[in-house]
Amino acid sequence: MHEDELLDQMRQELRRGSVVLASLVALERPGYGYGLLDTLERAGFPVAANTLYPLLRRLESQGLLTSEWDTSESRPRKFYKTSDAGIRIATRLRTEWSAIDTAITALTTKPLRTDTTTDTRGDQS
Amino acid sequence: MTSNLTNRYVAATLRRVPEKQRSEIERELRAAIADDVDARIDAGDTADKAEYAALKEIGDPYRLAASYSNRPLTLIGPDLYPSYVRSLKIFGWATLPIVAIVLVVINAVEGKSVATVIFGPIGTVINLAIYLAFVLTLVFAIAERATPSETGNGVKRFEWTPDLLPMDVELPRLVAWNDVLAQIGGAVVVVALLLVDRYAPVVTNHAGHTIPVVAPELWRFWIPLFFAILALTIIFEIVKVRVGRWNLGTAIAGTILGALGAGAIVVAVLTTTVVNPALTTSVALHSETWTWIWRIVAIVVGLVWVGTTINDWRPTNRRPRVPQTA
Repeated sequence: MHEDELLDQMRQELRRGSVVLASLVALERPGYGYGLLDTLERAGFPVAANTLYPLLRRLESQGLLTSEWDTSESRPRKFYKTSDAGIRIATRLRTEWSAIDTAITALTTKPLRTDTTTDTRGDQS
Repeated sequence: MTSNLTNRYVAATLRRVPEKQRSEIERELRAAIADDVDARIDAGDTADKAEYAALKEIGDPYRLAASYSNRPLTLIGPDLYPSYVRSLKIFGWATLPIVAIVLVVINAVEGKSVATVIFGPIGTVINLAIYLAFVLTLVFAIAERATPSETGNGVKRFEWTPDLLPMDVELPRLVAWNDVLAQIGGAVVVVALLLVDRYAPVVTNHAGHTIPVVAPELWRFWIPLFFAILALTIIFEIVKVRVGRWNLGTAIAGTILGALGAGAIVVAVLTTTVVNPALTTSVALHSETWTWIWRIVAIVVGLVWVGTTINDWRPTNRRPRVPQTA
């Protein structure tokens, strides 16, 4: 497989788990489905529409988002906003996020135990 | 500006979501599609193209609906799959061979023809296997849907414990030299017995003369053929060890060679008189009984061939051979 393809695939996997956090953080200011899709994409966080829309409904049913229909414009839109519980969870997740970053950084700056990996490769027989 | 295409898309999605959520999802979905279409028109697309592209972007309505209603998109997901495979194996091995043997015995007792005794049960066993696989698949597919996991993955609903480990610690491997030597040894013994039986018979008939047990008639064709296949098999086993690992060529060759050998024995015991007729008259066994003995021999040879062939093709036997310490 080409390295770029491999990278794309891994990047997607890495992002998949963080869509929830990104949505919770972005929706601290109220937003609607397509608008959020656009916001996330502009922020360098592209999410598939068929992932995001059902996710918003699920987060709402879990009480992490609240919603309200805005009918003041010609096109009625459902606006989502992160609830207090959602904000608490988002904060915890962000702590987790930075912990992961710290851990990865620590791993890369410390000398890795590269010699053990070469040892197992060296087949003595 | 809702066109037929969008209406069809929305309908296709709503059809597959719970009724009480439909109106909400419809309003939201229509707004989202319209937003996307507008954005595309602003970017310079025609209305038709924009709508088409927007719907294509959201993708298969079946998938979208499954995502809305938290339905699995797999028949049997990763949580249940290992248990599913285990159940298939356990139920298959626990029932099918027994059924096959019982059917063979019933047909044999009823005095059916040899062909019916051997091949009759095959159809029934295949039917039963298909039925069993279908029922187990159905049960697991229902279980998959009856116990929805919130996240879809990572949640192990059936916990694995070390108690479930197989007792076997040997890694499967291809034949090694000692297996080949054992095979050559066995072949030598069989050939030697046949030669002794022919040229220096030890069994005596009622008149006190020593006569061969094996019908001399067989030396015309069947026994030389048997020797040839035996020699080929040994050569083949040596080649297999030299190759060292499973490959398609040796697997096919092995299957063909096995079929030749098993087929030759089956045909020989069923169509010829194996035991020297001069001897059978003195051994107090009815010819009917002998017929049955040879039928059973044929069945056993056939089953052994089926077993070894299946074993040769099993994926677990395809890994490289474990290096032997000299």
